[in-house]
Amino acid sequence: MNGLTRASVRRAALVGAVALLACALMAFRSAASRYVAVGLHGDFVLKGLNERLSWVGLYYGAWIALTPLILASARWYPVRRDRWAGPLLVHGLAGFLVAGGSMVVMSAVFGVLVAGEEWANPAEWLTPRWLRLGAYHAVTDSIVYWAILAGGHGLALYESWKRSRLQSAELEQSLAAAQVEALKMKLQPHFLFNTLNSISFLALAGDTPAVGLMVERLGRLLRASTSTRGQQWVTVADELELLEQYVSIEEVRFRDRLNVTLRVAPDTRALLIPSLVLQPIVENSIKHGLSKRLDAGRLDVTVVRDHDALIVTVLDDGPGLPPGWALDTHCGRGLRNVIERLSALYGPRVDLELTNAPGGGTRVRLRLPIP
Amino acid sequence: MERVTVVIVDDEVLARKGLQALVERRTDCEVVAVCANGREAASRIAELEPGVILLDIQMPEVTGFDVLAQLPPGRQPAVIFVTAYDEHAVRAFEARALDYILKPVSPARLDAALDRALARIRDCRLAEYGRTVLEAVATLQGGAAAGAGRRPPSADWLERLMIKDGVAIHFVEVPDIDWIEGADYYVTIHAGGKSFLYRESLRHLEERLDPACFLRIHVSAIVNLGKVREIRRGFGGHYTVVLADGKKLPVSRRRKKELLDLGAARFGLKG
Amino acid sequence: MLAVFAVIGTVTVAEQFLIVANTTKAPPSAKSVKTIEAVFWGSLRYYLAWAMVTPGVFWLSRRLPLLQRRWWWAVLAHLAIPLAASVPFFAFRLLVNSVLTATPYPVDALAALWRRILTGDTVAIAPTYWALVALGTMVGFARDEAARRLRAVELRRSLSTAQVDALRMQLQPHFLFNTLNAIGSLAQAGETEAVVRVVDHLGTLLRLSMESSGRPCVPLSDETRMLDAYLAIEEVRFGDRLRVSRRIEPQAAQAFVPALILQPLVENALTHGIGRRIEAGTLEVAARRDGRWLEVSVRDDGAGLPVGWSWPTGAGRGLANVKERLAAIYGVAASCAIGPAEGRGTVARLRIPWTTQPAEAGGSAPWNA
Repeated sequence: MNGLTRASVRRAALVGAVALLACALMAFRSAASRYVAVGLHGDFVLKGLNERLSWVGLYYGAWIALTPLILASARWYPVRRDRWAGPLLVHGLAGFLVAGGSMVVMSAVFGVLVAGEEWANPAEWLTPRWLRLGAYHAVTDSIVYWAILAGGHGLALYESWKRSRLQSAELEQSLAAAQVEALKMKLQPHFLFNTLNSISFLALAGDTPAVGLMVERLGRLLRASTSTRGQQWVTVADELELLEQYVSIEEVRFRDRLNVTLRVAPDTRALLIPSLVLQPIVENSIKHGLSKRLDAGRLDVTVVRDHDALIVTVLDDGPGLPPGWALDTHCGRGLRNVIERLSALYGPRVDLELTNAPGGGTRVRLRLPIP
Repeated sequence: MERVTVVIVDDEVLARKGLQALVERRTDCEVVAVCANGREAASRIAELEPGVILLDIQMPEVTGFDVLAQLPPGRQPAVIFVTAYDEHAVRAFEARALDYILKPVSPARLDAALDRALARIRDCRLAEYGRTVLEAVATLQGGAAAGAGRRPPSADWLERLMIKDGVAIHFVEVPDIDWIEGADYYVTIHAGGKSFLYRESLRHLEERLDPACFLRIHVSAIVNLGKVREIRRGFGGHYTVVLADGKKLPVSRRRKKELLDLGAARFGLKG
Repeated sequence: MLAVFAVIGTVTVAEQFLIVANTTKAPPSAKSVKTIEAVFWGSLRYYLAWAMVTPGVFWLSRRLPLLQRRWWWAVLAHLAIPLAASVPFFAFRLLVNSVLTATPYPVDALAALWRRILTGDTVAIAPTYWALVALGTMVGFARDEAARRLRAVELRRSLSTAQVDALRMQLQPHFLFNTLNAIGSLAQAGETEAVVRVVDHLGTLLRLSMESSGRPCVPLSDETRMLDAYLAIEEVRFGDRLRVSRRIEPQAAQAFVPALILQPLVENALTHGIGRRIEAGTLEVAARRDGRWLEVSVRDDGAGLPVGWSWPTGAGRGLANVKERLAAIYGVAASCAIGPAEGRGTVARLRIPWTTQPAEAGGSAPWNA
């Protein structure tokens, strides 16, 4: 058994000692209670069901009346981990006094109202007999005081437990959001990087108009992406805007070699999807499907609604997937980023599949449940 | 026609060079001053009275808006803001700037803005010419012609819109709008061959547009009567509106009457 | 609370009924007049027995928690358990009796025995059992909360790291847009080499900021390399209005500093300091070792701090982030101070413990004692 360290043994011993002490105290209390009870010499005996029930009623009535006061005192002077000696002493004493005192008063009331002369003779009120009754109740019923006190602490504990649970949940949520955001942010530098390389290349090749065009469109793409910064969910329309800007940049890079068609069902434009999901997928398809070819390539992007889900399909007519390609092991950085974020938002099973398209090329199909 | 004079104001040397190169590609514009800060700009503009100013906003000590505030009253040049910041668009709109171009500057966008600026200058010159003629006539006839040169009483109808999509800022003059298409959450404004998404409901826009110029012909379409070329009648009493650019729009039964009344007034349509 | 009382009250009332009903039998106190000590020991045995059962009860209270969605199952279970406990009592009594008297227990007395156990033992142990369950639930709260507090600390730390990660990867968009515009202008003017140079600097900036993600601290030389790329671009944009001077001591370059800690300071110096003046200005970045400390300063002779500005209340987001990260990594040991420079302008001074090893955020570094 691991974990049996000195500290845990010490703690177990401490707990055991405290428990033993508690039991001894309780036993002592029982004995003391009996002692005092015997000393009552059979006074204050309840006779008959009526008396018994009235007694019980008054008893509980008294304690119910006392409860708010005891709860207030628990809030006002609680036993805490860092300050337990004082409160324990005070409440311990209070238990005796309150129990004894209140029960004595109650017994007097009982006597006057119900039991009559046997119980309460006002002339006898300050005799030792009553003191003994008080002592009896102090010992026996103080436990009720302490039970109520413990209940008060319990309520306070419950409140702070609820609060901490709420805080915890909020923190977890913020963290998840920030992590998704950080992941998303990772994509931006990579894309900028690639485009800057293209700009450099074009400048060296002397293609000034292309540089200007790319610079301008890169600016638009950056604006499109910063407008949704911080948002995890964007409309399909917004994401499409981003995608169109991105495609326009790639079109400059590939000149006439790139042919992209976007087909988006009008009833999907206002739906919410995670941001920066379409663009990395298309980027991946362009990279693998087109950039390695010398002739022109096509890319078809369709977005349609299928009952409670959005289906995004990206079809290219490139070389297709190499044999033995698997999503888990071979997918690129961009796709991996997308999968990570989607699984953070939707759960571990992300419905994204890459297959060879019939007739050559690759087909990417993503199914997003509509929230 | 003589070339329109342009002043360029930007605190970054490369931005100035870039704008100058773009403007100098045109034959209808001429760069008369290039200023590196707002102070210089204010004095040069007062001195040269250009037709167009290309103005940066974030500049040290004297910002683009400060320069605007210091413009002499009277002959106001067309102001085109050129900036990297999209935060000032509203203020620019309220300052009645002609356009708001975001950096990095797109040559096509700059050209479009300059075209509009030139058109506005031409119109102003014509109007001014017209006013001068009227005044001259009035003087000849003795006594100022009542209402000559005074603008018609205008209610608070919308005159221009600021449209901000994620990528660019557009200031659209309402008279340039061809028609407005309504959808679920937004409308599409069609003006001069371009379409812009605008987040407002069709009904709200209908309330704010001058009813003498704009009519809602359909539950999801408002048309600018100034852009209507003809109204066709088809089978079963269906009417179709044809715009100047050829776009055809159906007219709903309910709105038919309104259209016909207005149409009669404007086009002398019968029946 | 009232519910608790109701339950206990009902039990006690029932008890009274039963006592009354059982007065035909000899009252228990008369049966065995025990001495006080006997009571003490008897009670002690009783309580010890309960003490030993308590861990089990606590375990039960966690397995059948009262605070869950289907709490009625738990309540039912906890009501049933004392009842169920009567079975072993029954069996025990039966056994003891049979063994002691060596005769099988009379069958017709079984029912009476059963009833006696139910009304006696069960009723006796039920309240204590429930009290212990309540206590166990409370202990559960306390423990849960302690665990949650710990986790909250971890979460907050991760959160700030993630936020920093997200922040650091954003180069100021305005910087990017202006730079792109400059590239466009250069291309138009046919200045190919300049285009390639600026693009190269921008790429370096991006690459370095990507590389350092996930690492809280980097050597100062990495940081200055990034600054060099950044400042090279700004020099192109500002033209003659900016002069940059770097004074990094070779030893200082080896020290580890939090990643991207200088960037906001330099940005501020350019945006609010030199950028606000029409005349030219100078930016100076200096770093030196001072015994156990590394001192880094960013000085500009630009517009200076606005009237009434004070650190740290006037700090914008970039500066606030610097301050937070310093606190997270070094605690109170590091300091960052912004104030007017001699003559004209502003100076930002960073003072962090000298180290040639990367530090973990909030880790067990010597300055975190």
